[in-house]
Amino acid sequence: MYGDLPCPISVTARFSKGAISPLAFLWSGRAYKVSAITARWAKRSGAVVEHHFAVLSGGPDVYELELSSETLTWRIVKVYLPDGSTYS
Amino acid sequence: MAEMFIDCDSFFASCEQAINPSLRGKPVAVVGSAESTQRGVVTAKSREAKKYGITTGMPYFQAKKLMPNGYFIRGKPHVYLDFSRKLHDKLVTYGKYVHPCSIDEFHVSCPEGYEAAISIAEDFRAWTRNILGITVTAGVADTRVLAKLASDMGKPDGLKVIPYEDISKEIDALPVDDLPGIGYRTAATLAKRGVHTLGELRAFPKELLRPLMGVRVDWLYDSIEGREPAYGWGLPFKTKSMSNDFTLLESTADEDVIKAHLLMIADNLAGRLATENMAARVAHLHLRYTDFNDVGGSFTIGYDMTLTDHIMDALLHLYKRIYVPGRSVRLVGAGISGLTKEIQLRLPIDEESDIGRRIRDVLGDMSSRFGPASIRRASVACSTGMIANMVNPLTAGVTISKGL
Ligand SMILES: [Mg+2]
Repeated sequence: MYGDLPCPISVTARFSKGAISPLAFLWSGRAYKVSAITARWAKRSGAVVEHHFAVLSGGPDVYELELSSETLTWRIVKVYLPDGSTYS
Repeated sequence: MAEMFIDCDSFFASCEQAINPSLRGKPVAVVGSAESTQRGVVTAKSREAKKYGITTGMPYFQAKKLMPNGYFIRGKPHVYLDFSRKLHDKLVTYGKYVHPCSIDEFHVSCPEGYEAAISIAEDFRAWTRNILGITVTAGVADTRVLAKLASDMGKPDGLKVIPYEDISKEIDALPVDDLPGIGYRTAATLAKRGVHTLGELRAFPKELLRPLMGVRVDWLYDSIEGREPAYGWGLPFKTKSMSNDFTLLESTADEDVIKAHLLMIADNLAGRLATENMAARVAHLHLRYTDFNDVGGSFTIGYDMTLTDHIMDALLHLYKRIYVPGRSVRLVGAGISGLTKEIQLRLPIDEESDIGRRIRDVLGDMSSRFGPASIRRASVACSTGMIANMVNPLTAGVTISKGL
């Protein structure tokens, strides 16, 4: 139902005071408005930092978005489902 | 002075519940690694999962039986590490000494006292709840051991304070193994003496336990009486110790030979301490007689041992207490523990009479003449001659002990 992941996406985000906050994203032709960011974490490999965001969009599914500090591109990497399983 | 201990509640499981709100309030077990939940063991469980009897280290299939409708989540170590880093980064903003104890546990020292500690604890707990979405428990007390015990008592999502005047009232009803650092062996030793609670321990004559437990007795009573243990946090229970032993080529009752081996061990241990830039508080001696009877003991020194002669001094003290003259020895072993990097007390060392250096010179001379591989043989060969008469470090070691 979600297609292949990870998948490049378009994201509207706010960058302020060193904090990055995704506000909305476009994925497979559908627009998702971010209703809440439940968690954020960084994954470092060498000089490259991947910023990860777990976000909600009105429903129970949690979308994990990733921003690469190297390429400045966004991807959706995972979906966490209410039953505890993940789609990736 | 107040000590604070911060401990996250069900840390890995809480991180998972923070990420996926559907899991909040549900029995969650974090299992295994990224590859598979089926083959792994439980590495963390949520508060709700604990009610099913899920324990850390339990294999997946067993946990699944106990909790068929539970939520089993694959671990994400990099996420937990990043959460841990955030906790640490936040804690250091309070400007206090922060010592990470594990991925989700931190000591924070507050020289200003209880009020400062409590206000930091409240601010930090609010921050972790609002920003990270996880809960932490804080314990505040006079010492680090009691602060940790307080945090255990305050779980989950609590702030527990044990003021000095209430120590007895707060902890005496607890079983002895609730005290951080008491394992099942110590608990069993105490139980044989009818000591089951910390209150019973407080009432028990300390010196009756010393023959059974050695220096750990001091740690125990310091802990429950609200003093920071002399060895520092957690020691001598941690694995931080060094030891070395020699099986003699021939069993001997020649005390100079035995002492020469002790000296080599002391020097080896001092070298390892120097390499690690550490000091030790406790010396251990172990002798095995020809009839395979083992004798041993520990000695705690009132300063930080760094040099060969410090260690040798402590070992000779023990040696005099435990060696029965005339008995034949086949193994000589010694070790040090109570290791610390925070060397607080240094003895002034007179360059002219630096016995430790002279001892090292002798050993250096021996190993350069006979080669490091033959140092054991060399020392035995030389022990009655060169060491005892020429340099006489052993007598010197005894002399030092009088001066300390
Ligand atoms: Mg914890």
